[in-house]
Amino acid sequence: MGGSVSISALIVGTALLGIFALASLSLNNSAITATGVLEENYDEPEIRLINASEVSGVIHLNMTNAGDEPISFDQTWFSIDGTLPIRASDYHNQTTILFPGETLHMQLSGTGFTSPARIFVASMGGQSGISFS
Amino acid sequence: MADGGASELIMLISSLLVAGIVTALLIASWGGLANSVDIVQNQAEANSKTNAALASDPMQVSWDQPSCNLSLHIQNTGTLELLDAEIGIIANGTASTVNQTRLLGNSSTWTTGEVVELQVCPSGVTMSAGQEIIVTVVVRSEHYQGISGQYSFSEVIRLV
Repeated sequence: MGGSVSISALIVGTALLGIFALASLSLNNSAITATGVLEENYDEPEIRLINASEVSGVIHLNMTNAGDEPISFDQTWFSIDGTLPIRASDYHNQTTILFPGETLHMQLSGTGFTSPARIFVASMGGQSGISFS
Repeated sequence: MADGGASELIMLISSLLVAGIVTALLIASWGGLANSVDIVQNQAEANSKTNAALASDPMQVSWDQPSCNLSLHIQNTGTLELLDAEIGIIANGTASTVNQTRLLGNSSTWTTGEVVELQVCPSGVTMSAGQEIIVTVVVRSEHYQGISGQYSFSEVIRLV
């Protein structure tokens, strides 16, 4: 009688230990997933157009990165007077990144716009717009 | 003596059966729970990797009433590829039909940083230039660990 109870307790105890091990493993996976989710929730870039002008078909603009993350020109799109967005890197290839705190003078030539009124920039959720002076 | 041995044997077998059943039940219930937690985790992770934003100038969004055509440009700001065939648009409170999608910049897939142009028709809605409306965009990602991520955002736009 005593022996059978001991064996039963051993089986149930082993099962509980196994479940505890699985629970620990699952908790660890949950922590890793939560870390991944938090890492994905990055802040939007803070991109700012300071001024813009157009001279002989060439658009001149000053732009700054007011945030903490680098901004890639491959992922930055300009829209002039509400028209089809154009990728910044297609018109500016001297540099590829706008670093935090950096202010850059850009010249966009070949856009086909003469006397535009407004330019808007969007990059990974960050937005800024300004009128031409 | 023999009776005592037999009863102990019956008790042993009974105990083993009960222990086995309890163990099976515990493991099965844990398995179900772990599976549910896994699905929720994967969904949360897929959603966190799915993101989009308006790339159009919200102050100057093209609207043509006669052809029922609202032009929107949406950038993939997440880390998963988005599906351009599975976009939902609500314009001025009306569920809209996406008549055409086009990837800009010589891209073939809607990956991170790429922009899609949408031609949208909010059927039965009369809007005019200068009107400000709210547009809600719903996007869906490719499968990530067997689950598709979803994201939605709303933005005020001015029609021209």
